Amino acid sequence: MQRDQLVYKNRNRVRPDGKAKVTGSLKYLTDLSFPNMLYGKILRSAYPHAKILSININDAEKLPGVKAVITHKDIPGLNGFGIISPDQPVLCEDRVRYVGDAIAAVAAETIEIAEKALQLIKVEYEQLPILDDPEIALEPHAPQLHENGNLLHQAGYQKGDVDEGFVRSLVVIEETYQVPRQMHTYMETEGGVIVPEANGALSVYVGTQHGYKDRFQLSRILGKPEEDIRIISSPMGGSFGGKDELNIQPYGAILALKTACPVKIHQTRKESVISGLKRHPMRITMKTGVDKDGKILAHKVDILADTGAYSTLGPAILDFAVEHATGPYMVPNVKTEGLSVFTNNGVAGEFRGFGGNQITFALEGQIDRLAEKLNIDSIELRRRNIRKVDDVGPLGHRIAPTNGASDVLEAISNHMKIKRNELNNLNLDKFKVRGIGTAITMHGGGLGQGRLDPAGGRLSLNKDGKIEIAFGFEEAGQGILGVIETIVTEELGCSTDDLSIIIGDTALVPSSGSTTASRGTSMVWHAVKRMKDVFERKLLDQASKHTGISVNELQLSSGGVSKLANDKSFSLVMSYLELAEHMNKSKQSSIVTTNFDFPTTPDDVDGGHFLYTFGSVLAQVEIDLLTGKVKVIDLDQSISAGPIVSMKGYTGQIEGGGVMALGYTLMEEALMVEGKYITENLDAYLIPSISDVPFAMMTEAIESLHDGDPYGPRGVGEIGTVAVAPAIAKAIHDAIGYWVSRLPVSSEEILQAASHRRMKQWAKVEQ
Amino acid sequence: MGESRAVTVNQPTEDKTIDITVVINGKEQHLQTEPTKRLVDILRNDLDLTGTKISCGIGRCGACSVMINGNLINSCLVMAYQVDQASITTIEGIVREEGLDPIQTAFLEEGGFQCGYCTPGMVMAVKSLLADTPNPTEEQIKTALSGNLCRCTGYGGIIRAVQRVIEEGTYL
Amino acid sequence: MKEAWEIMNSISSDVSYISGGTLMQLQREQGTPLPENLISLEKIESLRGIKKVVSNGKTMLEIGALTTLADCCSDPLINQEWDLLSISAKSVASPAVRNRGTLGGNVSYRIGDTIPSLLALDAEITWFDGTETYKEPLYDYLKNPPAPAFGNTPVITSFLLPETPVSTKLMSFYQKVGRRESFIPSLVTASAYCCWNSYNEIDYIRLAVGGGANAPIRLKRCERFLKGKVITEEILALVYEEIIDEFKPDSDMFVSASYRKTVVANLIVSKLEDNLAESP
Repeated sequence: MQRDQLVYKNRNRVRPDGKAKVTGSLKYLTDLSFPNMLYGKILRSAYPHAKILSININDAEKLPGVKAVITHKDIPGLNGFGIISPDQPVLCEDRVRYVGDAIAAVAAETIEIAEKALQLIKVEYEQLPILDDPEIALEPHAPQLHENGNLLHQAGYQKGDVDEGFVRSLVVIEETYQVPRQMHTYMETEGGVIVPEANGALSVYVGTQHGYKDRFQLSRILGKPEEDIRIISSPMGGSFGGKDELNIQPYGAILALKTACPVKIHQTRKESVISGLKRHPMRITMKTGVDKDGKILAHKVDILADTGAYSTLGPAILDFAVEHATGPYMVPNVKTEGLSVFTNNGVAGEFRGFGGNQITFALEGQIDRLAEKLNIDSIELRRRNIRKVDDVGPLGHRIAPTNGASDVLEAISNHMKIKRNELNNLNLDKFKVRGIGTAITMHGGGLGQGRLDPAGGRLSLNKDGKIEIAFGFEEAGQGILGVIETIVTEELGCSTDDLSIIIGDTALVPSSGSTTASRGTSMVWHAVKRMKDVFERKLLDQASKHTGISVNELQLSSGGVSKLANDKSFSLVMSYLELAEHMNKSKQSSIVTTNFDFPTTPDDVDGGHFLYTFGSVLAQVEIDLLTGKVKVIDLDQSISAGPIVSMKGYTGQIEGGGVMALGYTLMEEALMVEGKYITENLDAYLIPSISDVPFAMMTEAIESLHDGDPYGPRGVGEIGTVAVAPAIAKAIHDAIGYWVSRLPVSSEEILQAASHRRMKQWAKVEQ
Repeated sequence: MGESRAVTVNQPTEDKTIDITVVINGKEQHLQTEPTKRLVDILRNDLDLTGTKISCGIGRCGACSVMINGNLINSCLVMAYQVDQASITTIEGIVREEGLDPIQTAFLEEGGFQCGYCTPGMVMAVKSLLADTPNPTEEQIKTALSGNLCRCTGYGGIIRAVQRVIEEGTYL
Repeated sequence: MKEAWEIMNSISSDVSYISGGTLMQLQREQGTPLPENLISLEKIESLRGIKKVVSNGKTMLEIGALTTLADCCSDPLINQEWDLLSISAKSVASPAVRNRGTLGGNVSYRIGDTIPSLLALDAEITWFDGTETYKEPLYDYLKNPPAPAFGNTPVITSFLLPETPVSTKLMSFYQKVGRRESFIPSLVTASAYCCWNSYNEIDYIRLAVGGGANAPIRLKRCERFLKGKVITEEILALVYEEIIDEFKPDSDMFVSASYRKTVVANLIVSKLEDNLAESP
């Protein structure tokens, strides 16, 4: 363990954007309005799969108040978008592949007129067969959704010989796990304002998780140099991965350029449901064999992912699931194969957890089933297989040494003892039963080996005498502003009043890579570490020149540069404003920038991660034997992710992530039938309400890192969501002896399972 | 509520507008508006009171919660003609002269928000709860906030914020 | 009221009454445009309020159709004697929606979750057809909705709740099951009011069930079966089968008919089981 562990003194501070949020004064980008602003609406496909025979916009154009109607003909550049492969048409020309496909867009004086105009656009379709399941899409004679067929991506990993491993196994468990299409359900739906500027330039006030990537994509669509496009991408009312890909930006941009007016688009919830990204539904079959001591000998995994109509980050998500298929366990023989398949369902893409949630539900389910068969405590079975400090990562690649897996396992093991004891002493209603379950996981941060994952930042003393720190990150609610504030003030010794934080505006910030993959906290820490010494040196040199005091006696402090006296007290010798004026006059630049890459494994393993976080979850459930309803009583997590930078941010990520995963486990499913959404708004697509969550949740942070670990705090944006589902599933089994393998858990299934174990004669299941 | 009669409401098929008088955050306003325009659109688009948010549009998330005549209401479910003569309080109207409302302070200090988009509605719901029930039980807190969805916090910080206000007793 | 009716008749098409309007806004957002003309009943004060009245020599609680669900939750009279209604009202939507939504609106929705509790309480309904006010049991009203007069839907004006039977031994409950703990459309609703006589026989019983898109009904056959019976293990098993046989709900995207039957039977029988006669 690291002895002199980093502890941020200011980690309990209130975050800088807080006051504006609790008073409602913060302007989100969908709150903005500009003079002469028009409202935009997008016409989406009437069918999940069809040929477009004709598009007639004449009547819509004639409607009074309509300023522009655009179709594929109006796209100046590439009619396509997608973070990796631009295979999604901005506006469809001859074919639609899902109900969110855009065909036309309108700018009008009011939203009502724009809506009416959409109704006047006549589109003739010829319906095509609907591929609403990846298995159907893979059939030999299935219609091909894309030039290269319906298989978006194939990924795999192999080590040893699984067949031989199964032969030697005492117990083999094979199970198929099914997980649903989850919706991000950020409270602020997609939107913002796109403003045409002088000389054909464009300002795009629309939330995204990677401003520079949006700029690149828009440049390609608009046929306009990137320098002419400014992306203002922060703040956002939530994203969770869902706003990383382009959404309404291209339509607003083309309409704004065509009308020479600012255009606002703010999708309604229904529009958001239909067009927005979702988490990949997956069918995962795992076959796992153990010897008599519980040592895992072989693990065979088949993943079938429904990626929907277009690729976005589908391949990377499948790669991530493949990588994490063995989780924190050391398995000698592994064979993992994954397919990500195009269908006419909603587009699946980036979502907090990035494929880890799906695969972890299956993996931990296997471990629990094996423990039951072997009659070994499930935590003990994990202990017998868990990775050690210097073990290689799940793809056989070198990773930063860490004892995180054992740390979180032992933490939850201790917690389990307490909770089990409490439960044993509890008197329950005769129609209620309870159970407790645990699960663990490891989760890679950053984009992984072989993927461009640059980061950067800029530090300067601006002319107003503020220490200006600039990153290309976005604030989606996760608290990156608070993280930046804490790290910079503590590393430099300045106060929050001395600081000016700039993020989320391509006109003002350097590229920092994407605000994804739990990388923000890590990258801020690395960037500040890299820039700190040079920046300090620059400022102190100038202060020394100006005051005549030796550099060795000076340091940055709250309010300005201070001199260290003999009695170890400090006295301010120069305010930051004075220093800024001095440096300005003497034409001394204070700007320090850094560019570097997120640390990756030195081994040439595609997608392999290097920095991992670890989490363990304890869930207690109460099952109503009359209704089959499952209620979560406890949802406690232990996390190993290095030192905490922001206490409230950390706890909030774990609790919030946990509850998002509680929803995934028990109620959330963006249900589609024949390519159409059944759950079109929040009355049918359910996210947990305050009544569905434990009134108190525990977050235990294991802050210590391995001795000499130079990589600092890790991000915790995703880890809290990953191992919740299997913990709940295990708790259900603990309560009623039934293994759930399909999410969200069906009350009906639970009721049937429970009634088989019921005492009451009257309570048998109706057939 | 002086008159007791049925009122015909005409949709703006041509240019039919009505005049309404409302008190918003203590200030009387005379508005000419389509009778079926949603209150949330009047607040956000016509009056630039964008602290009130819009998310589901069907009263299922609470982001647009305001107080009408002291009652918590989803402003997406109310039309212009229905608020004639009403007194409306939005998030912009609850800051006190001496600073933040104690509920807002508690949300700040307990981490009762992350992205902040549900926060104005949530604060209004808490205010409505504590105005009627200054010392609520766990069950009463859950009931009162059951119509306000938060996707970020998992409600942990929100619950701690409410508990803090209760402990401080500022609403007793 | 008369005025509302006359306005309704003066407008030939695309017209609807509206009070709180919460459901209409939901439908508007789902893509159903508002009717061209809305007739607001919201300010008709006579349709509001909760008071005890004497009707045909019997004391009854009169609840105006425009009474908000929030008032149904908090009214002391309702909470004292007719608490099934306040329990069911609390299960509908959220506090903010209950401040707008009305009891009349919830019932006219036909699948409103307050209906089973009103049926268990033997509620009567009054409605106005343009000339006259009619009164009939809610059960009959739901079974045979009044024919639209002059092409228009009659307006619900109030609900009347008779005094609940008193007995030394009684059981009443309302329960709603949804896919989430609160603010959720029902999958299943069940409500009952049951009294025993001094011989431990059931001498009064109302059983009402609903849920999802299934219009709530009373389980009359089960009521008849139970009346006069002493609850024994054997009776419980029989009534369980009887409920499953009588209740014929539909399946939907979320649960099957079989689930609905089983849960309704579980809920009712478990409550009856609490009142099992002591073994001889």
